[in-house]
Amino acid sequence: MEVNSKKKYTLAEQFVALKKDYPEFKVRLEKNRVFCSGQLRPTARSLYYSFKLSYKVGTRPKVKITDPVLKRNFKNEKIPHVYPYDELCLYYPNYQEFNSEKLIADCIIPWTSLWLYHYENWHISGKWEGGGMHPKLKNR
Amino acid sequence: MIQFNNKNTQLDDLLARMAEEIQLDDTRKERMESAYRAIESLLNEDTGFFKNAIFEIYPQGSVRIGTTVKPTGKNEFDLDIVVHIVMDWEEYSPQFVYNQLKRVLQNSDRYRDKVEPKNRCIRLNYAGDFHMDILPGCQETDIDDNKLVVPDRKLGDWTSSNPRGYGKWFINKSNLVKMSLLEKAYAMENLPADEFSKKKPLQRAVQLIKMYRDEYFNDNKEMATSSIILTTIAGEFYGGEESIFDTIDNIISRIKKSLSGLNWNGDRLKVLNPVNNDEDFSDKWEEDKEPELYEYFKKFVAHLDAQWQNLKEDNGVLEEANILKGLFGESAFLRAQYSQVNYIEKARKSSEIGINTKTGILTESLAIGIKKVRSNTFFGSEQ
Repeated sequence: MEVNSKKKYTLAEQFVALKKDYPEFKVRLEKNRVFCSGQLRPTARSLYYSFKLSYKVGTRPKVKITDPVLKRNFKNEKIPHVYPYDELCLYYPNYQEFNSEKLIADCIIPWTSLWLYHYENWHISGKWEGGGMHPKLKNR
Repeated sequence: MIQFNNKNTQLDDLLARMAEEIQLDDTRKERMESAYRAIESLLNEDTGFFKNAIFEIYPQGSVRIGTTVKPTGKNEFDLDIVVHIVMDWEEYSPQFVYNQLKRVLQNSDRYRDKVEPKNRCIRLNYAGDFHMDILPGCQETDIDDNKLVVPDRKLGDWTSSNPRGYGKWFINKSNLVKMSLLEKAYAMENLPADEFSKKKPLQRAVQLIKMYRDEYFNDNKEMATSSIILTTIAGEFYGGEESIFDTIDNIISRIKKSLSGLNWNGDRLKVLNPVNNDEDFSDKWEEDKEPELYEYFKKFVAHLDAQWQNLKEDNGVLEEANILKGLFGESAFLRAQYSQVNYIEKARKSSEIGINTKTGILTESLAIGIKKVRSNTFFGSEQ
């Protein structure tokens, strides 16, 4: 075993961190998945957004906003920074911003709030001001 | 500073940013300031009447009381200044004093082409930029150094005016609140207040109401309620509220209350000059003058009221954005919104934001119960 190799978090550890850091959320541990759901709002005047998260070690955590349903903006533009089925694209995998050595509680949840903030602004102004990248744009 | 923790400060932050976006910018202010200082020098150089006269020059109106709003469309901003002369005015005719000012301006190569005589003042047209209305006035008595008599050419006589007294009255009203909601929010976080949070709620409220007036009467400008009426009503009804939102809310409800009481009597609302009750700013609302102006004023208040009540509901920021765009114009709203987003993104880049772990609300503080937002790159396929 390499001395410097970081430790991968087990599902149980992910579960405990979510429970401890976000006492208001529902967190459930199953055999090979952890599930988390709750409500977030990016600002005090925002609506509450219900979200559902599921994670299996070694895969991308899936985050979906369940209520209110995400929708196109007034320009009829598609929602930016989502995977199919409107799962949120919160980080660029190649940059290792999140991987199994990191906690969902530290990364994914705060990014979801930040995503929602920019989503609301995108509806208001028609512009995504939160930066990021779209793979298609690179291929143009 | 992000003001997202509290619903009221968040809205006031946005309202203040909007007002900041639409007020006269500093360069324009400086240009106007030097323009009126130049008039002062010109009068000081006069070898005639002004040579031995004791006088001072100062601005009146919105520049004086900090309630400027950028003009919309083709309108130019007007700067109103007073030439306040201390002399035994009863020895002179009003026309004489007026003509002395006109003479100096018309003899100057710099101003000759800009001069446009008006009823009480002389207007200088700085083409395409602004115009300056110069009001000559004589101090009425030794007792009160704010009260003036000014020439009224149509009347052929002196008439009284008190621009500096009005300014004092308004500023005193603004200072009914010691610390505004925004100032308090900054103080609690031990942060130096941004310049824009320092203006008092009453000043912001007047800017916003005037801005809304410009939007509302955009296609019907001649029916627009005048700034002096709106400013005076706002000052009269202000009750020392700490937030911009509550200030406007209270002003609306006091107007409504007065109107309903009056309707019952068949009288109209009178907006009197607070420093000279003989002067009715709303004189034009008389039945035999332009009563339709009064009807439009009432409609305008009713519309503002309906929108303002909507802002009290928990509609979410998207719905609120639509209300605010409708009230104050899309571009001012979007610029204010952008300045907020820009602030968040800056804080994010220097890793200075977190979320409240109970609510998800973004915050700058990194205290207990706050989870830092780590660096990330939003990604994703375009569907």
